[in-house]
Amino acid sequence: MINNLPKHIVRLILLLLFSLLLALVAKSYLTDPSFYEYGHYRADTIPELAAGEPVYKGSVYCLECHEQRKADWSEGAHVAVQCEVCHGTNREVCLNPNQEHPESPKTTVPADTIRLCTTCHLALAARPAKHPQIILGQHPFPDEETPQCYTCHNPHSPSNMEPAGEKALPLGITESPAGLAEVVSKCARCHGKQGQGRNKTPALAGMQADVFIELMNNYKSGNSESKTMIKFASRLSDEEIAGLARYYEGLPVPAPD
Amino acid sequence: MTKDKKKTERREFLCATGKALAGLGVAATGGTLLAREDDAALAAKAASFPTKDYDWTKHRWAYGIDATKCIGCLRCVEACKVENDVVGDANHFRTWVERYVYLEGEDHALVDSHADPQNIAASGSESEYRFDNRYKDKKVSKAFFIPKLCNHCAHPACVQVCPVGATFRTEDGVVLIDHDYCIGCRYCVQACPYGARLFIEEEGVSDKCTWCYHRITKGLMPACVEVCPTGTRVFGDLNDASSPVSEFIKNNQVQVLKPESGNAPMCFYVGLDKDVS
Repeated sequence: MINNLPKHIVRLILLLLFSLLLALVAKSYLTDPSFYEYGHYRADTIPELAAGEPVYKGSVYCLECHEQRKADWSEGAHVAVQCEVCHGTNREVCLNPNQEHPESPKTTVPADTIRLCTTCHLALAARPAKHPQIILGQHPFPDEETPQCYTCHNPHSPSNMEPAGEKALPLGITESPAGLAEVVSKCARCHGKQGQGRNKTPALAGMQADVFIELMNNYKSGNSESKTMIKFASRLSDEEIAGLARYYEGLPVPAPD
Repeated sequence: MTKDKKKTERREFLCATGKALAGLGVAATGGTLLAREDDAALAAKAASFPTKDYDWTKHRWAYGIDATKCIGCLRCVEACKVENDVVGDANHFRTWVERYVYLEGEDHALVDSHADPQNIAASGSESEYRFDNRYKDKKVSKAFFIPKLCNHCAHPACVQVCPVGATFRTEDGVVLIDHDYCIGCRYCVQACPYGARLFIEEEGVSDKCTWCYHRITKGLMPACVEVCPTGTRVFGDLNDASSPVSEFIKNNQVQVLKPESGNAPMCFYVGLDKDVS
């Protein structure tokens, strides 16, 4: 049959076949071996993209060491705010896990906390009404010269109106009683870090242990008007109450104003 | 005589070259075909793909956004940039937040976002933006924020238009870009109805949100979800009925952006409004 075809047609067919072959050969050489493995794309790109090292570690990572901060933070409204949101990611440490964290440059909160806090808490029209917001110029600042949010609010638990600087524990006591750090931090939210009391909340520091235990047992049995204290006391064991009683008895009685 | 001889030589040469090339080609193509793994081997490989402890056939990722909770703090936008090393200027974002404001007596929303010069100025840096408090003296009847990102559509237009197979949807439902294969033609940027793709001029490639593929394959949340302080952004696996996103879809009446585009987006919204698209 081919013999019957004119010569130039035969040549044309051969040329076409040759081009096709050339194209196929070129394709088999130029296409990545993983290209059609799962579809019309290079499969190897997926492990490449998945191999990246996460930068944001999440609060779980930070709280492994920063136990003290956890107590404040985990009870406050800011529990939903991850450490890195305000403190930033410590990129050097995160990308190089072998590097010791304390020796690396520590990421800090920006010095201007008004700027930082208004990122979320400046009154903007589009912010949901139930979200706490301030109007700058109307919100009171005790220190008008250098207004900063942390002079009144503890940034880790902002409804706790206690200066964040007041971190040190009172004379003779280096830390909260063993196992009670978390409970003490809860008491401190209203009664103050030194148990000194605040506004209408009575002082706990220097209270006799048996008085303390009796009061707490009253709360525990629901025999009080303070719903907060009933709820709070009902979660405490007798051992915890005794521990707290001894702890607060040992604290120095606050000086009268 | 000389002419005839020449003719013969040329013919012989062409024949010989043709045969040689054909043989080479057949051998090469055959070799590649034989070298390709069979289906069973591929399935075994897929069980720990793309990383050792991850099976991409077991997951079906989806994203939820409750716009009624968004406070426009833009921590998500910052986290995305840091996590993914996105180009550091205010024109390149894998995720962003838009503000919609209806002034009293107006029928249409005023929309501003990352491209707005006032918002860039308010951030104090050319590489960021922050919502400028421009409506403080105006009468606002309604206002809200809408976070946006790639919708990782089930039928993505961007994938369909790519001429080189540089973008694709994975088995676990994430639309990714192969920067090595991308030729920078920007068809995908044009095709996306959500404006979710960006172009990196320096590298000449398209870029987009990956739902932090390097995080989700390790059991972590995408960075934007991780840092969201209000629970606006949720993420999870539709194959797991108790995952945050499954709960989100179950407990809310959810919507998607531009359903008429036929892309079948996988980002589900609560709190959309008539002017949001």
